[in-house]
Amino acid sequence: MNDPRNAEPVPLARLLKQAAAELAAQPVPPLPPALLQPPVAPRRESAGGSAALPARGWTAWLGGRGVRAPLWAGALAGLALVAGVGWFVLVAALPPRADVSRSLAAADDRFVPVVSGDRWVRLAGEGPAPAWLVQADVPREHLAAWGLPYDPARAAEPVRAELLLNPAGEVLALRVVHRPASTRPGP
Amino acid sequence: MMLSFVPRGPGADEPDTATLVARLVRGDRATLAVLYRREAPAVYRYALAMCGNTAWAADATQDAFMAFAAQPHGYDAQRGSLGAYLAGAARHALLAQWRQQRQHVSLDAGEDGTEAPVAAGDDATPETLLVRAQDTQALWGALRRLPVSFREAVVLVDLQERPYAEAARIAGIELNTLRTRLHRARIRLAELLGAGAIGALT
Repeated sequence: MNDPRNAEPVPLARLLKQAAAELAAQPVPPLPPALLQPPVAPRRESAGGSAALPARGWTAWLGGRGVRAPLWAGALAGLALVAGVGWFVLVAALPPRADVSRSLAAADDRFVPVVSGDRWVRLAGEGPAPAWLVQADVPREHLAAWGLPYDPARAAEPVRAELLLNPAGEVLALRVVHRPASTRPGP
Repeated sequence: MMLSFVPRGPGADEPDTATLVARLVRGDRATLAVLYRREAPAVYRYALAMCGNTAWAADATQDAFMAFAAQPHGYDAQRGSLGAYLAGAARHALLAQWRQQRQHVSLDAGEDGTEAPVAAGDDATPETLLVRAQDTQALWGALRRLPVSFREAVVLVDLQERPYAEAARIAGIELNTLRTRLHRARIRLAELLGAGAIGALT
């Protein structure tokens, strides 16, 4: 049998071309479901974000009653400032609440990772890292998008969950918060 | 839930990248699926060729897209293509990964679980395919023995056939620096492989 290795040295250009073809044939990982999830904004009671809120129905309601925008905007800003100062004073006087922010290391076993297993293990191995813990009503379709089981018959019904977010707002893990039966919506 | 994914080019009825990015800035997350389909292959393969590890490459690609999704307004079309922007973001993610692994400067093939791309078949004979696989395997090995900056020049220009200007932008270097690195990288590769002339490349 002829040994093709006995041929002349393969020009680098041909090797690179072969390697380029191999590289171009590599399968690409599928779209990460988390990419399509809307960023979950942490609930913050401070007044800082009020200016960025989109217009709601009450703005039109006020406008329709002759209340000029600068007046009610100023009044709201004043109220928000008072509320913000009050909140700050209360929070500063109390010990830190564990459900506002935690480190990844504090995440207990009830959290279900929604990132890849490798990444979760890596995150867990990196030790304490800043993270947000927020509560949100998550549409059940999102559970499916995260690879979690859900009941299609209750797809329209949101589920109360605690989301563990990294500082970029990416959801790393979640756990469903069980509410008392009396507070759950009917079937 | 795993979404099926078929790489393909932009269709005639699909909006252009600028339109999609504008929609994303307005909050339309669904455009990410289209942008991912268009841009992820080149980003992922760049990362894969750089690190030789499919998991790291996938993570870097995901990190790049997550960062872009979080702040789509950070992309400026005047400064280059979206593909180059995302590849640059993946590059940052890879460098961070290497720093974490304390392998900042170079990765040795075969010692850290790295996986070289597998040869694709065609109508060649089994013997030729075997030799070709050995040749390209040697090339991947030699590529990983290059300094990262040299490797990156070869990956971007020779393996991904990106324009020099785009490659320089991704690598964050001047055009002349890229040319110099590429030339040196090719010479070093040829030495490592005992390969033939590199004249056709220069």
